Amino acid sequence: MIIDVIIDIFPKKEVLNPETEAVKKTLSNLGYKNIEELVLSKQIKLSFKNLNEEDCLYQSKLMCDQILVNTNIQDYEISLLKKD
Amino acid sequence: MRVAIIVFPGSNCDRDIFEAIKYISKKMPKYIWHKETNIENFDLIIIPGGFTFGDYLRCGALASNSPVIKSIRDHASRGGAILGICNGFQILTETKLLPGTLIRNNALKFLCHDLNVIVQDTLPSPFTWGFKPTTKLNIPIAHNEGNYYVNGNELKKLIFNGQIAFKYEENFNPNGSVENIAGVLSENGRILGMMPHPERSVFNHHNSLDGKLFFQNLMEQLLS
Repeated sequence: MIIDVIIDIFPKKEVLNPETEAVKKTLSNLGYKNIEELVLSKQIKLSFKNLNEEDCLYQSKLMCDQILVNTNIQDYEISLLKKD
Repeated sequence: MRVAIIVFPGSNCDRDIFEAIKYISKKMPKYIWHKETNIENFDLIIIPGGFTFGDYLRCGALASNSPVIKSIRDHASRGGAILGICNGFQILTETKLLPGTLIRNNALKFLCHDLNVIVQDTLPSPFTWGFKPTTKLNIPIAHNEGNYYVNGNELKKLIFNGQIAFKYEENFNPNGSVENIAGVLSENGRILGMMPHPERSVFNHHNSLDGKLFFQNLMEQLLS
């Protein structure tokens, strides 16, 4: 069985993100004036084989802390999608 | 004076550093490929600038997991001196040998020009001792992710410990770095990460010779 894991990585709120600010400003220039918040995130999809759900989540978390995420400036969320 | 220069796929200032060190120390530095796991003792390890692994994932993130990093950590734990320049600085923060993170320049532009950095009053360190605090060094920058970020508590700690090595001039902060920080030291003062490129102000055809002063001072401090 294949288990898909989605990791969403986004900048911490307290870190001023110049890319986010630039996109927000451009949208505002295009006339979209009602945007309260804009989050630019990065998504990583992993497909695991021969592992149970618990181990998939555990390994994903290890990978995030080890390399995929810089927790000084980023937060992450892991979610699980099951496939046959 | 034995100097190692670590080379990763995508390093592009390794030869500049090599020529600068050879010229100033009159000794040949040694290139170390990032896959090496057992490196000899050196007086100084330099991690040069570049775009290691194409800056994929985050600048320095993939390089910080290369096999050679274990040897660099061992060198650091023995109190060995390490200098990371530009992408080398990013790698040192990704390995957590230095605090903080380098994020995109606040104007979202790649910056490449000369500027002054000001030597700070620091804890004992071979990288800054020998210079009078407030000394200005004219050294070029060339980076896209040089905006140094630490949270408020960590910044207080850096200031309290005297870990800020170099600052940009007030009102001439090119990239949005907190406290105008251009370079930081480890808690024991033996590791320096800096965004400016001292190897680009060494020879007479460069715009300044202040990088030469920086390396000469560093070598005197390390040998004294």
